[in-house]
Amino acid sequence: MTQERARWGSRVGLILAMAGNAVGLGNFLRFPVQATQNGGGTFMIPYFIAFLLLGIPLMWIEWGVGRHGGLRGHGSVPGMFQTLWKHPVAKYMGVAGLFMPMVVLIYYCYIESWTLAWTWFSITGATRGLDEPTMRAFLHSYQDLGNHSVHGFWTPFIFYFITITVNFAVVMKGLSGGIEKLAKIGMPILFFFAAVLVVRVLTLHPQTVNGGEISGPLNGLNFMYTPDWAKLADAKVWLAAAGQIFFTLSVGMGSLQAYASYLRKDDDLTLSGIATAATNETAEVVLGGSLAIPAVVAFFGVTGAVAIAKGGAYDLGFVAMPLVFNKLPGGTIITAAAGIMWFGLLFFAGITSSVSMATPTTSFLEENFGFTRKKAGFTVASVAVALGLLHILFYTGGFLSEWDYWAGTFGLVVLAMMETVLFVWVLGPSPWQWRKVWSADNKMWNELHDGAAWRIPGFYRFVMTYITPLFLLTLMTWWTYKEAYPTLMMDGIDPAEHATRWWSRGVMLVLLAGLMLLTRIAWSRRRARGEDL
Amino acid sequence: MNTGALIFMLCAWAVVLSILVWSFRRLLKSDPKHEQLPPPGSIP
Repeated sequence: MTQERARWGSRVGLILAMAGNAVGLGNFLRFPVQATQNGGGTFMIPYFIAFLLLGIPLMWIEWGVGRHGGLRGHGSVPGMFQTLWKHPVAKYMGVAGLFMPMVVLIYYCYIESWTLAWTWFSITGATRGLDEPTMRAFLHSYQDLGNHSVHGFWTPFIFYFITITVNFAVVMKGLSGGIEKLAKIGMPILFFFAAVLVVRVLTLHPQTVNGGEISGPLNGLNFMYTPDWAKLADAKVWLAAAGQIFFTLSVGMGSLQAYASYLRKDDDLTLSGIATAATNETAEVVLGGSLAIPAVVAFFGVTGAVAIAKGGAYDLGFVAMPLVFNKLPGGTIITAAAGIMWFGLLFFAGITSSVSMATPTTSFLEENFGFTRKKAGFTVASVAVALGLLHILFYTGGFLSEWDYWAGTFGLVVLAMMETVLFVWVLGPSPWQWRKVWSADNKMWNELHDGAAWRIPGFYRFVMTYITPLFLLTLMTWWTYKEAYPTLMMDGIDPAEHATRWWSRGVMLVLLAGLMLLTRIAWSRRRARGEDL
Repeated sequence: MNTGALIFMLCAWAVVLSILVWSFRRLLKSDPKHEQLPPPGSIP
């Protein structure tokens, strides 16, 4: 379709939308747990090295892939890959950039709906006065539809429908009127809520916990950042740090590329990419690292925090934090305000990410099938609702965990590897043409610098050509060997969950096949219109 | 809070915040062509 593509309204709007895409639930829940479990302060060394060698280059690559495709009329990865590599298989490789954001969108909206529900529970005081066992029961009753001890059967469905409706109302409003406006409102609110909570947490007075231990927020920071030098030699810590950088920047998903496809040829992407990454890192390291762990340690001590962290990120966010708010001095108003701010910030972190995940498929339908924005949004929303219901119904059987692992974890590295090879080695010089890597006609390098407000230091030519692909290959090999194979075989999984998990994989495969088929139809139509493929 | 932990935390914060401030300052200084106002009198 040859219609004029939408454009971002302003550079600030673009950066806030891109940062909103990157800042998600993981910044406030996953990062502190990872840092604590992997050597505390020393985790930050591999973390920043991965940020410089993997995160920032991938951020530029994704912006570059997106703008390159967008200028040729493609707002989703199949078309973007086709413009980089004129091989019939390229578009099918790019289907990963439709499949992953669609899969993650579906289950992410369900988790996002919990944050909305818990914001409501904070307002109504439903979690006030609960102790640890009853707070856990409160969460488990919400997750398990067969458990009506606290919540009714329909409660999770109601919050899920509200969340999906809000998400797609934003998506259907379009780029400038919907997504950009949401980012301009949501991101400042998120940072404000987080900053207020950090100040409150760090000014808590130390108190006696767990039968005599004196604990305060600084004990939490101490626990998180105390260096464990022995762990620096452990490969697992380096891979955990690289993994965290990967997840936190939302690279390898297909959504950054979709946003970047709306850039003009003379728009900067070098400095904007760094500004986006830095905004995300500030939310993660400065705010995310100073919230959950210090707060939980202040009230439960280090031993209690370790026990809670072992239960995973959901226990930390939806059990431990409401318990902390119940113990805050100042009475019910402070408890309610803290809950609203915590779950409110998680909701904004979630929705600014989920609308970006809806963008690739929506753009794909608009550009290839002539759908209006509303029709495309409604179609994607319908599929999301239909499949999202399966997550609500079968959450306790491990349905969501399968999607989270295969699309939300392993798949990201696969897409990142493919796009790095195509953008750096196919558009640019191949890795054994090392003289060309440094030459003035390195197309990849020149593509990144169109309209650039800042020149990337020259050594990144080497980093992007050799180090980033090597880093990705190592991550992919390690994860395949250590995690993907055991996960595929369901090692350590309760046999009662096997049937649901296989059925979950089957649904994913049907979705993948459907997207492949749509891509095939789209390209047949393009060929019939006589477009240059 | 012990000294090692404090140093690591402050260094991490310093790295992140300096990249943030540097990138936004440079972005605000640069002026994208399509966001520039047209010369006075050029709009009828």
